[in-house]
Amino acid sequence: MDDAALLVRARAGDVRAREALIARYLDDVYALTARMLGDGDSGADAAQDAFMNALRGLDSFRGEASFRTWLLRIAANAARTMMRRSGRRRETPLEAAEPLLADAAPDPAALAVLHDEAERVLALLSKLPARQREVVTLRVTQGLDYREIGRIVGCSETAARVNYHHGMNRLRELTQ
Amino acid sequence: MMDRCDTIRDDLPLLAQGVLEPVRAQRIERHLQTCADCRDEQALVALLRAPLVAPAGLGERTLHAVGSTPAPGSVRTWRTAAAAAVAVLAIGAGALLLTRSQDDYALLENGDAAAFGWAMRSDPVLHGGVGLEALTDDELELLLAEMQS
Repeated sequence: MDDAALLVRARAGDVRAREALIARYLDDVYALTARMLGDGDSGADAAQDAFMNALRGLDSFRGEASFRTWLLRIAANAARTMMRRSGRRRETPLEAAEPLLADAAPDPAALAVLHDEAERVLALLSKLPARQREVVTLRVTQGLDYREIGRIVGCSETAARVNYHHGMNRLRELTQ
Repeated sequence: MMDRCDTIRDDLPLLAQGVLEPVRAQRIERHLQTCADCRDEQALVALLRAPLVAPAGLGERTLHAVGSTPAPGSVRTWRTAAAAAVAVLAIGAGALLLTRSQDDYALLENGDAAAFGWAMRSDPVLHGGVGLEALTDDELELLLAEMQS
């Protein structure tokens, strides 16, 4: 069932439709909020807030962007709100990094590798200003075009592109 | 050359996702064979795409938070306990209350009290407006007496 059909049902209070929307976009939303906030627990809380806000405000979705874009915008706002609430510094100290991966990976060796990679990603992204971190995350992990990214973070398409390249250049410097 | 690299790098996330047109993907692959800087960025994109999977149970937790389904041990548990106490009185009055789910109580909060009978409509505890501590001594005595009978 596509998003439009699910949205019609979810608006009418269909619990199954809400479940389906959450299941469909949970990883996308979490991947964004966890990266923006720099740890898995805060990312999970922000993801939950995002879905609460989205599902309670479905009537305000007018279909001008895709549901996914609309939802990711709400997720970015939820992460920003949480950032402000916690007074989080723009750069997260490396030693404060927490694993971002789920606990339920089947193979311990594979989990260890992924865990190391996730920590490295966290450490790298934490070196970027919040806007660049957000844009890089949306482009690299969600594959959004710059116009959509601009809608989500509240800037122009050009500014999104510039922020992406500045962010990636900085990250490449850090990895060399 | 620099412009071309920027254009290539713009598309590296899409290449990683496998959503590029085949012709465009082939052009980028050819470029990568000769450009070490773009290969570095491709490696960075791959690293940044390290999978982050939502924690187990987050979906259910979110659904509960939205209020679609009852959550075991949630903050609404006190309401269930209060409803059970009132149910004792309601049984005495001939009303059937104990088989109701928490969702039904949510309906009650929205004013849909008709299905629950007079006891639910008239009881301030179940409505959440007044706690047991607000009952008078006489009302508490009556409640205890009816629970024991």
